[in-house]
Parts: sequence; structure tokens; C-alpha cells
Amino acid sequence: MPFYDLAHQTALHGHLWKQLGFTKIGIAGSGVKLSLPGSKGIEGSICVGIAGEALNASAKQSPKAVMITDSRIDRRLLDTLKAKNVILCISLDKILGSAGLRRSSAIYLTSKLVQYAIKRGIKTTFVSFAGSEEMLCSPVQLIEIAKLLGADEQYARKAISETNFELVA
Amino acid sequence: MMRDKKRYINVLSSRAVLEQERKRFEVELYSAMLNQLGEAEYFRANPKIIKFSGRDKFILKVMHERYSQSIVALTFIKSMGSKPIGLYTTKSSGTIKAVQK
Repeated sequence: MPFYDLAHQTALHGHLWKQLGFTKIGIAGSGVKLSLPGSKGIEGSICVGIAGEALNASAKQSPKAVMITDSRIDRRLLDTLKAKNVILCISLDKILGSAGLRRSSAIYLTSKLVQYAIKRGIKTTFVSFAGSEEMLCSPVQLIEIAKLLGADEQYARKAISETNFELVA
Repeated sequence: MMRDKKRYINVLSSRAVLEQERKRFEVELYSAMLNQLGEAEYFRANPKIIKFSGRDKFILKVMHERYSQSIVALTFIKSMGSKPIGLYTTKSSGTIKAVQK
């Protein structure tokens, strides 16, 4: 099964990602276009921002995916994602990059968002969004973290394989 | 009495581990895993490095029932001995022979 991920250029120096078992890792901001809420012409990009009016307005412009950085459950935004068939992209960089209580809090908030989104039938996927080699994960690790956040194994596999392909293709 | 099922995980490290550093690396890894899993879960997972293969690869044995938790714990370890590190699980199996292939 081919697996795909999304990370920053700084995480992809050598061929580590190939050793980990990924077919392709999309480069955030370069190969995969990122946009901020409120910006124009965001079709085909991943809109990254905190939940709120601006992100909601951007979601209506049909971007490829939306990444909610504060992991807040904004019901209106999530309804828009479902109606427009936009992917909810869950970035694991906050969970991987923090420690102790901060990590615990990030896991709690993200798991609530993931569980709500899956229950509502929103297409949800998981990316490492790694900024350094240490923050990269293998597909097995991504799947296990997705399971920790409330996705079942089959859903997580499909997300990291098929849904991530839509993001990085 | 039934024997406990084990799982062997092939782990790749972002940091090379020299032969003379292996003992210290092992202790630091167990300590980091204990920190991540907690005492009760650590005892159930019972992680053990079985073999180093090369400078940046090793095989870790864990109890089957705590396999998922062990993978998550390895993922969350981002520094050991005050140096940054990334531990990546590349393959896992129920036998050492299969995981070495």
C-alpha cells in the first residue's frame, strides 16, 4: 500500500523518507501550496489557520484541504467542510513537537476534533507536517497516532494512503 | 501455562549509535520509554533491545498486548541524553527472522 505525507523542506534532506516507507512526501509551501485564511484564489491549496470567521470564509472557496491549527471544534466550519467535500487535514506537529502537559493537552484537543469530524462524515487525514528529520514519522507511527486520536486502523490506513495522495498529488 | 506473545519492531534511529555507546543508549531508551509509558504500562510492554544491526538500526522486543502503546512511545521520544533524536519504526513482526528480512 503506498503511503504519503506532508512535511516542510527542512525535514527532507536525505533519503530517510524513502527508508521509512513513503512513496512521496509533499513539500509544504513548495510542492503543495499553503494559503492563509482570507487570501484570494485558494482553490487547490491547503488553507492553514485558526478556527474562526476567516477560515470559514476560505473553506467556502473550496480549497483542497483545511488545517485547523488550534484544533478547536467550530461546528459551522466543519459543516462547510462537509458540504463542500473539503478534506480536514490534521497536523501532528504540535503533538510531536511538544512534551509533557502541553502534549497531553494537544492530544486531548485534537482527539476531540478528530472524533467529531469522523462522526460527522468529514474526510479527515493525518500528516506529520514535520519541520525537521527528528519530527518525521513512519507510516506505521502515523497510523498508531491516528488510532490514539480516535480513528480506527482501516480509516487511518486509508487516510494516510488515499486521502494523503489527494493532498500531495 | 501460555507463553506471552511478543512483537519484534525494527527501529531506525536518526542518530548513529557507536558500539561503545550501545549500553548507555539502551539505558537511555528504557528510561525514555518508561517516561512515556508510565511504570504500569512499561512493565506490561517490557521493552528490550534484542540486537543492534548497523549503527542506526536495532530490533526492539515488546509484549504483543502493548505493541501500539510502544510504537506511540517511540514516536514521542524526541530527545535522549539531552540530544535530539528521531526513532522510526520501519517494520514489525512476531518473529525475529521475519523482522530481519
